[in-house]
Amino acid sequence: MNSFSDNTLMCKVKEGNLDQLGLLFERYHRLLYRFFQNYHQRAECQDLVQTVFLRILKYRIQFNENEGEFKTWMFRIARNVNMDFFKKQKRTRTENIETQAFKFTASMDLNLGEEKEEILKLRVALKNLDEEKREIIVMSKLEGLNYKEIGQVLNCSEGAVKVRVFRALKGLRTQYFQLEKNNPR
Amino acid sequence: MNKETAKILIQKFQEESLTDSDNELLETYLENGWIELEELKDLNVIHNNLILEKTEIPTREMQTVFYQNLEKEKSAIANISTSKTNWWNSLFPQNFAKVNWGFGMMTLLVGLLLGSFFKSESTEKFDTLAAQLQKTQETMMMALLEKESSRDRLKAVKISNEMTDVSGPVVEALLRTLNNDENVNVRLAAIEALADFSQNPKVRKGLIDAIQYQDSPMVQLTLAELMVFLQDKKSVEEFKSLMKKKDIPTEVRSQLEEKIKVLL
Repeated sequence: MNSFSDNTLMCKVKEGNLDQLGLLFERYHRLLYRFFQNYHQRAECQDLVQTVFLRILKYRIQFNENEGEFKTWMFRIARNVNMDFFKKQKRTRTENIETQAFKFTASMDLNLGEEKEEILKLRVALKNLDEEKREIIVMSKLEGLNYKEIGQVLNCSEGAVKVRVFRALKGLRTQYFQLEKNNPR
Repeated sequence: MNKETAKILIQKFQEESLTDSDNELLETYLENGWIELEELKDLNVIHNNLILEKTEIPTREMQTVFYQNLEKEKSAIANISTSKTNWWNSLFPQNFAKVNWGFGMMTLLVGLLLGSFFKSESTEKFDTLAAQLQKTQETMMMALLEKESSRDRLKAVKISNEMTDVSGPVVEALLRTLNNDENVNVRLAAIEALADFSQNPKVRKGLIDAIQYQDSPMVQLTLAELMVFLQDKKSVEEFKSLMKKKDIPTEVRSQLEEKIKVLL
């Protein structure tokens, strides 16, 4: 087995060699940050990444290398951390959408190029989706997670992930056209 | 699965004329991999055009907090294990280590006996083959080190772990990797590989010289660990000048100070 593989390092952490978690942190903090970035502000993202690694430390004994890859186990923790954050903050989706809609309208006034305008509209459309659809699209866009791995995170088959992405993209398309209708170029 | 049905479903999707049952069938085809998401062009365009927000990642700030948290956890564990040590020691008799040592010696003797038994005229042929293998490994390693993918470069470094001895060019390639590779994992693997040949003065000097070029806390600490293991006091000056740099996280700085104390 590769002595630098994620699972080997995590097993060493589990055995008490906590320094090895440093390498896993170096490998994955950026990916986790990118994941949280789609929901939170900069400072919150930093805190949430730290919370994920603290939970990895706390629950290290529960890691079972025979049950799957470290990365998917880590993302399951990250999802829980994200959900807990929303529960704790009691942040309503309406609030979020309103902020985003404001940001969008404000940036429209800046006369962005057509391409940037489309990207922005798609981002707003994404933020208007329900949590489940938004999450699956974010995961499918993250570099470093394929459909099979997303399936392991969500505890479903690769095929089921494809169906979920399909449904979510249809929802995104509807939201996008709605925005186009309300904000014609 | 029917290819014609798949084609019709894709077409209907593009024309937005799918009925509910068509949609259900399309999902079944997607689930089974008979139709790929990329074939549904409209959705694929949306998926490709969606670019997630990418602001700069505050890596340095996050590293500082992470290493502080890690240190706290380590100290907490150390406190618990100190209180458990006496209980643990009482479980084992004084001669437990001696028994282990004896078993190790016996295994070594059996190995030596078997080795001399199998040694024969074929030794010369074996040496030639081993030399050829070493050369092939070296060539493969050098080629992989040039690759763009960090996974390939990691493989290259791991090849050197299989070598029983390393030539000058291999040492140079590993040191170059340690000093210049952009990927932390590859640099760490290079340290691990070079550590196996640390009796070689050139390797040891290269490792010490490499200290000043490192900006990753993980690499800095791994090099410090290795120097403590090798008890190489010549590295102290390099670590001291590294610590003069402003951007060293506080936790890393304090760990390096500890290592220097051990070395002195």
